Amino acid sequence: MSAEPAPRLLRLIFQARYKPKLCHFALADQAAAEFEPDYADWRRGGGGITMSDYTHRCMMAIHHDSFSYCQDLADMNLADARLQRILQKLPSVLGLRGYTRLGLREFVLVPADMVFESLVAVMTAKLYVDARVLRKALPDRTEDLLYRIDGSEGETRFHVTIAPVKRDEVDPKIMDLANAATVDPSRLHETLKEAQESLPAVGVFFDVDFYRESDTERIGLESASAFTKSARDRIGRMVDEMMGYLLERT
Amino acid sequence: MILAAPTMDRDQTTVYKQQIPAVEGQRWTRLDPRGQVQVESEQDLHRRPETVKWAQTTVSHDETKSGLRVSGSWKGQRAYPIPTGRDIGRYGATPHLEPAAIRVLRATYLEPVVRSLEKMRPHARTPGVAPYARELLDASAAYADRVPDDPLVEVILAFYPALADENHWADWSEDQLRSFQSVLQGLATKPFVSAEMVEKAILKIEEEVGVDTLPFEVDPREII
Repeated sequence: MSAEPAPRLLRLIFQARYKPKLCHFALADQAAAEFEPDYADWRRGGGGITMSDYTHRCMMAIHHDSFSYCQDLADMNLADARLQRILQKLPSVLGLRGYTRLGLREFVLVPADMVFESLVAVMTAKLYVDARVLRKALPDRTEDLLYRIDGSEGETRFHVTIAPVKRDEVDPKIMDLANAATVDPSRLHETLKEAQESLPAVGVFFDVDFYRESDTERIGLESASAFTKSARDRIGRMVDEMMGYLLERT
Repeated sequence: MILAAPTMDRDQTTVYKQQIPAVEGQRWTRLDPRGQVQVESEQDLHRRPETVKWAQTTVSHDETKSGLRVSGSWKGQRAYPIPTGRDIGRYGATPHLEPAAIRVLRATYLEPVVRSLEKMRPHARTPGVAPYARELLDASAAYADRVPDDPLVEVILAFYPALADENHWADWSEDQLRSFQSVLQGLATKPFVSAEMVEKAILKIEEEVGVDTLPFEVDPREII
């Protein structure tokens, strides 16, 4: 039997939110300048500044009430290094006292060794109750599905979306690379082609948003690093366990 | 093939009603018919299949004294919603499934079948077996419906009539149920199940378990 295909990270998004202050507009430029060596391209818009590193397919954005990091490469060392630097520098430059929300979101695609219709049949069987009443009420045949839940574990909350996807659904439906600040606009066509060719024909897509929030800035600045680590561990475990369940993988 | 199985028709319900009076059915199934009846549509009530002897459900004096409100409207009602062949193949079977999908779906749909057989065994040939027999028939119908490409479904469908027809599930002994379960589980663990293996399994159950897989008369003209 062939080895089980490994989950592939399509996109990682980190966002920290805080109480907006007028001074953040002025400080955003100063903060962004600290990162200019890593992010060669930048643009203003939407009340913030967006800095892109097309080489490493990543970007960071600073707004008056949040800062974010987004990466479209499945390189976790890069993500760790860039996030650490952001979390060390930005809060002090922006004069933050705490966060109102910390969130880490991952798009993960796990290749499936079957055609789309079969995967839909399997996921329908695994994720939905096969009740007689439902079978009568719902359409005879399920052609596609989306499994969507919001949940919590202690202070942590989740938005979880799981769905069978075909290669050509990933972009533009999910990734929308044409509008992502991680792609060099001058190389958009080649990047889209490369991204498309690297995807499996069919797979199980996970969109997991792991977050903590508070009305006041009670989430300590120092907790962000531990948060990102626990979020990534938890999302990774969720994907592994769900794939084990969905496709009877051990 | 699924739709062609002759006893898997709504007529099975009619036969069932004739065999078990309402109160007896209640005692066996532990279900109150007043709360569980499933009413057929008006069209179904008036459509009498020619192949079935139709008779009105009889109500004994004891039943009336027991407080059950039984009237002429019982005609055409199910005292017990046992699954019939009409359910199989009715709800969107997937047209093509490859081995990887069949393997996963087999694990999902065979498990309730095996679990029902396990539950039936201690109650074999007693009234207590009825609810689990219903579970078994329901689970078998769901399996056949959802994974029609699985060769194991052929084995299950071969024995569906031997269980469902005229309530033969009530006659199966513990050993017969165990043998049936053992053959199913034996096949399920095989990485590849061929048509020959299916045929052998059916013959094995017929010979060792001693059940008739065609416990009804078939008009050859209907098959051709």
